[in-house]
Amino acid sequence: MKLSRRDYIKANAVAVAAGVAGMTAPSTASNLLTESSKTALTWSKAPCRFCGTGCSVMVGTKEGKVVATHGDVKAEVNRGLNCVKGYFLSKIMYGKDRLKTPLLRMKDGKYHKEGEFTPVSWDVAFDTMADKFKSAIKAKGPTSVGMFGSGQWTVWEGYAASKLMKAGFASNNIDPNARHCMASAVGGFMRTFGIDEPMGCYDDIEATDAFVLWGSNMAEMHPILWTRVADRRLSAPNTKVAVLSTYEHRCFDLADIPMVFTPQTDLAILNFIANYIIQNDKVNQDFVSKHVNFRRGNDDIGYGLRPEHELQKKAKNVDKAGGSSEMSFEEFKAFVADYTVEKVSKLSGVPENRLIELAELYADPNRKVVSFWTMGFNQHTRGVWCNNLIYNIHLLVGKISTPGNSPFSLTGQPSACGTAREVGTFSHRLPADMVVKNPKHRAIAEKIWKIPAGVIPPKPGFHAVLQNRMLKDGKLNAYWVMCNNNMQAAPNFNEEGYPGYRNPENFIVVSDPYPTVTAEAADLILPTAMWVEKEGAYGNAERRTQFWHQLVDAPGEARSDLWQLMEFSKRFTTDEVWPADVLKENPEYKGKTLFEVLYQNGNVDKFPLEQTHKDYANQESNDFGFYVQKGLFEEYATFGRGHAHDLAPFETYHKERGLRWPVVDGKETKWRFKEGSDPYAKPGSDYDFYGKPDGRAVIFALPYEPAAESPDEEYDLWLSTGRVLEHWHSGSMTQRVPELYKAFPDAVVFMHPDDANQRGLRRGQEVKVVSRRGEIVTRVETRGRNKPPKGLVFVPWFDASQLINKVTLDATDPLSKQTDFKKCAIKVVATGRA
Amino acid sequence: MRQLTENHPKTGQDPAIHATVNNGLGKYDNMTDDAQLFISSHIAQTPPEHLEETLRAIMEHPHADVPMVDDKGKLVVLIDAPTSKDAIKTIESIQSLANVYSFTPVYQHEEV
Repeated sequence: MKLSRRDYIKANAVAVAAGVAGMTAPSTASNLLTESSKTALTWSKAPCRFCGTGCSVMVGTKEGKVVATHGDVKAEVNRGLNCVKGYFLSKIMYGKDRLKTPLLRMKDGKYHKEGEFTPVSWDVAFDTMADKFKSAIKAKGPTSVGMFGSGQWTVWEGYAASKLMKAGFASNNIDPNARHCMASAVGGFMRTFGIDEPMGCYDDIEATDAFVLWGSNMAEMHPILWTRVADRRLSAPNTKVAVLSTYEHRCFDLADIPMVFTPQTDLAILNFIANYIIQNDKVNQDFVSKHVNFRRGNDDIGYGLRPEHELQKKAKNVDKAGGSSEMSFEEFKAFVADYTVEKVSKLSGVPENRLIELAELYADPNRKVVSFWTMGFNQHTRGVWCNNLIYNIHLLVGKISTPGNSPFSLTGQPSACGTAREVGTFSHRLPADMVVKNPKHRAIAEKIWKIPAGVIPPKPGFHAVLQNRMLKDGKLNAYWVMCNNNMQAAPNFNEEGYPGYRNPENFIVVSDPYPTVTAEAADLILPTAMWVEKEGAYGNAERRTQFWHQLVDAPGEARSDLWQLMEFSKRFTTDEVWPADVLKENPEYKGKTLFEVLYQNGNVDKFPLEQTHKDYANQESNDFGFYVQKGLFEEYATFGRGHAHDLAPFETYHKERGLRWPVVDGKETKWRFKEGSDPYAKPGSDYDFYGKPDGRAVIFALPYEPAAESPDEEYDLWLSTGRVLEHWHSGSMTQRVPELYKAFPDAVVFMHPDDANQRGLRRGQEVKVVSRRGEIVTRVETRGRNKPPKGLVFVPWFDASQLINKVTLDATDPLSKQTDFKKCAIKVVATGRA
Repeated sequence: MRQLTENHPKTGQDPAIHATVNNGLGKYDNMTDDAQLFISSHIAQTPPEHLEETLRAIMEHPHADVPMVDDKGKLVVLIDAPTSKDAIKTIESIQSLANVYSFTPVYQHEEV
């Protein structure tokens, strides 16, 4: 039988779908004879470019272009399935306005802050940029330079960036956009367990009897995991699904216990559940007595606003937000006793019987339970508290670290865990959960990096929101934004975002594949290679590290972030950037370039070019003359091996569909802290929370406190922001795919029909959403996927033509420094146009 | 209230968008081309008792084919459309059929 190319593709499409559905494909599909030149696609695996689920996709390339994708049937995470975004992955790289050359603002042939973007060579771009970085450091020291990075960086990009800033420029002013996304989760893990990232894994989904979604809309944000949750619910009828949110969304379709609560009252609901468990004698006394300590956390900690803000001046523990003191179980019992079902029902608006049903899921000793959360908890002025309080509940009943018992913090970015958190690209962190303020940790990093003691500064740098404030105030002057769209993403655009970028004292560089809002606010734009245009590694929400090869070349002069970081480092010598006293004591480092001390240090350049895969290109390695990715990875892995963050050897990951760390003796770890499944749990311990010196996790007494801003007479509605299924984050990729764009072209304001009626508004009408800080123009939507209760509206933030962050407030969690994008006060008024 | 960057009076768009580089962001005339070859496969799920009527309803779509079904209510749907527009129209229509619980994309191939 001879098939045409079209028939071949069709047969292949059917065979793959049949495999995913568990059907046997007809024999013709598996035994094709055809002209190979007409059908030849090269297939390789790669993790999806979008969310933190970490689905694996098969990528088909032809003549240097990605032309096809399908879900990877060998991947444990997604088992051949794709969501609609993953389905169109092959198109994200081919937008017509892809940037192919550096663009510098110029007037009369020279750089000018108010100039027009003009194509320049990489040399001109880097020379101009180096000049600005050097003059900032010379005038004001290393705290005047900074970088805003990404949970979408590959592992080695984040690692190279962190080295360049902390070990190169001697500045801790590097923070990832994961600060907007995961910082509260990190804070929660570190505070309760002393070590970051979930103890369980996705296998918990098929092992549990109950799911509780805390603010998470998995049906739209983690659709593949939601498919697995739905499968479990439908195939094991005793399974229950509880969904808590401040508005009704698609997950409510599957909910046995649906609950819409008043914003911020999740804190009270969490404490009520702890109280219910104690009052009904459902505490797992054996577990609690052996594995848990109790502490009272400081309260009244402020809202992470500028110090002169009234709310900051009023709060009593602004400077001691992270403080806590010992307490007994009896004292904890008395503390939560205040959170009765009557009181919490009144506060939250959730009926008493629903609250009890919810509490019973956790309290019932015969039921396993998985709690999922993402931005609802994390983007919260008490985000770390929320994380602590959910762990309280799981710890009280001992439902943790075993299959199906899992408090599970999901992630929004493909490598929020792998890069931002594990590599330590936060302003206070170093690799493997170490922190800059600990002198021992700095010494370990300086030793592995082979740099002299005293280069890494002890003081944490500016975090995300503080970076914008410092740009505006003229204290941060040379700034590099890479792999994110922070002008669109950061809160309070008008007052805190835009002014800093356009401050005449500052020079702003943005590396991106597309001209985003952030790029357009910059002074220099660097064109970036994306996804399979480079060799990469991501780490997903279940600690799974996944690799991919470079499958196609980047267009024009676009280069990967990794190449940009390393190439830029060649323009600096240690004498220009390191502290003089350090160089005086270590004269052998004098006059060396940062490239030499950071990347030609005997570690990073250890593996020769010949070790790169012969079937795949590798732009950076070819350019620098050694296997860059392997060298960076192996140096980085030194930090974690033997310290409960063990990664497998580099080559292993190119063969596997990812492995969950710690990988010890070639075996991945599915459940941490449990003897038998975690090699680091001490023999005889049963459970070992080894992140804490005494092996005990901490239950924290933390109260309900109100939001930073609540509706009042003038601004009479809550605003919650968020995402939609079709678009990923700020839409810079998905808005360029026509099918996704058409599916959800423009943002709208979802509101209750009664709220619309009361204001004389009808569905589809043009309105302004106005806060004390700014406004956007949008249209009313009273139907569809999101159904807010009266008093709350929801606006997604993917749409660059409706920048909802003009409206949001830059209140942050004082512990995690993460913004609360879910709560501020607004009003909705007609524009007077149709 | 301070509004450093007033919205455009006619379009309501943000000025940052009109700033410089492409004049297209927010208008999206900068997207990828429509495909000339668009083949995709999907799995539809329907209650087994509605399998036959669902099968027929899908087959009525000019660009859709159902090469495989099983008795548990799963259907493999193949779409071979002249352009991605036609494909999307077909996908949307099948998704909205009564008794189609889920319609999951699996394979996608397109060439411009």
